[in-house]
Amino acid sequence: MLSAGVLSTVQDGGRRGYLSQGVTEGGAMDDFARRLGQRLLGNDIGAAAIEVAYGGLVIETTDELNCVLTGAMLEATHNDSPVPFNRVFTLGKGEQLHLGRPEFGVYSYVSVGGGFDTPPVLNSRSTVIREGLGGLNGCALQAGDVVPIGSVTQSPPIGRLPARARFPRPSLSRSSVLTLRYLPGFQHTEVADDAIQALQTQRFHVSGSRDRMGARLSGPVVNTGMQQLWSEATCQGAIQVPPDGQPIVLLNDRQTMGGYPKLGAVIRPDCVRLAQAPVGQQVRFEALSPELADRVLWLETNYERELSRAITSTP
Amino acid sequence: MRLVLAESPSPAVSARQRELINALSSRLGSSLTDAVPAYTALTLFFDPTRIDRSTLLTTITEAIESLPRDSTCATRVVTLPVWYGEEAGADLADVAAYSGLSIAEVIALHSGTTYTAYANGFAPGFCYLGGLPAELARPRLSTPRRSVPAGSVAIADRQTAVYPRQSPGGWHLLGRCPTLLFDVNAEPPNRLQVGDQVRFEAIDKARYLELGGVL
Repeated sequence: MLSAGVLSTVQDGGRRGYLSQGVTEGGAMDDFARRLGQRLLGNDIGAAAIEVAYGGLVIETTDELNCVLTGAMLEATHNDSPVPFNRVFTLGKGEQLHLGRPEFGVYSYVSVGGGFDTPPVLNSRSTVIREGLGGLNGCALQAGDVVPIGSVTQSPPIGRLPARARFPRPSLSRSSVLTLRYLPGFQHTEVADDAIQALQTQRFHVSGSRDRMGARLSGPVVNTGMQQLWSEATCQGAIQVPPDGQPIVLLNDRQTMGGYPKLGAVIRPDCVRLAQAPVGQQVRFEALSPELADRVLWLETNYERELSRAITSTP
Repeated sequence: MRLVLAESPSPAVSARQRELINALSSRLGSSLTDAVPAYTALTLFFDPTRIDRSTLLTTITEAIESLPRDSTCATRVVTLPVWYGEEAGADLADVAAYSGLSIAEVIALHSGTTYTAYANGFAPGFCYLGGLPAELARPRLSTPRRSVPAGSVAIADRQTAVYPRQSPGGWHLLGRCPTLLFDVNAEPPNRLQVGDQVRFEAIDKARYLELGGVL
């Protein structure tokens, strides 16, 4: 690791099953992009990648390895020549990979054949800095770090996206207004009608205060008119409204409990779009019925299944 | 999915949450990915690719109906040693003055009470313990400390807790506990689980160090 950029961390699919212990999920903010990287390399789907927020990473290899970049597109160079995204390339021993700044989006992923092999903690390699868990000693990567790599069990199937894959999937939405589809929560019926009205009809924008824990939105005040007495578990995408009326969408590194009213939860694919959206991005909320949410989930799962099939089938 | 068991938390509600989690885990297996009890609510997390909504609702209803009327879950009593004192607890004198008690009385009250573990959260190993005597109740610091030492035993409102590791914190510090409260190699990792009855036992500095406490 020659330069870690703004924030680079080891991430896999997240730490599941420990919310009751106050241990958050963590995991790649754009897990679709991380999974794509593993599929292209022929890695185990749960293998860890380096998540690079806002680019700036420079790495040097100690051995020859296969590598692929996914997620937020940026200018990357290897031996002074540009490296394409979503296509496996080989880094020779002692060679360097330089990442620029993303032109759009926030999180890019560097994946390698065999996966990054930092010690798993509670069944996951994901780094959650606040908890000091995962990655290298629970910390963000720093210049000078040496990140271990697992042994390669399979060579890359075809190493690139098949031509017939509809890509990029809309995970990096460039529309002027990003629609966040959400499932209304139980408090939806308890809050003032005006609050729901404001949430569903007004536009908000992604404020500068956004990180792996959540994205604070700014816009019209959503006055829930309610005060919650007892804290309870939070979920991915929960739309939490503190007394200032500016919604916060909770993301991967959120605290596991929260005491503010929650109007619902943004569905996972849209959490990814939000995580990748630039500061200032306009967003609007759209309520989904549980049946529609199931349908969206099926479509997403099916898209990925097809993509995976296309990558692994011999051309 | 969120189930609300009562209007306000109590030891019985916490015991009920535990029974319900057991009943649900045996029925749902791996489609139940997490179950988080906290105060009055139990929040359940599912893998939607493994179970559909209607089966889920039926199963949850069955689990609730299967519970015996009276709680049968044996509650665990956990005793945590605490080195109380102004050296270990920066706010002890302040809390005493605010409550109109002597330092010895604050220690006697805090260590003479049995608390109920109501929720795990804020940080791994941090457990909210309810039942703090009203005499000691006090709102949080208006400006939280940037750093609270690991093992700090603290109070706020009607609750007490131990900070498992160094972190920011807005509670009033009374002392230090040498017990490891979060261990990634243990299953479950947290020393305290919701529903546990927790007591504090006063120890001196020498014993604190003997038990592995750090300064």
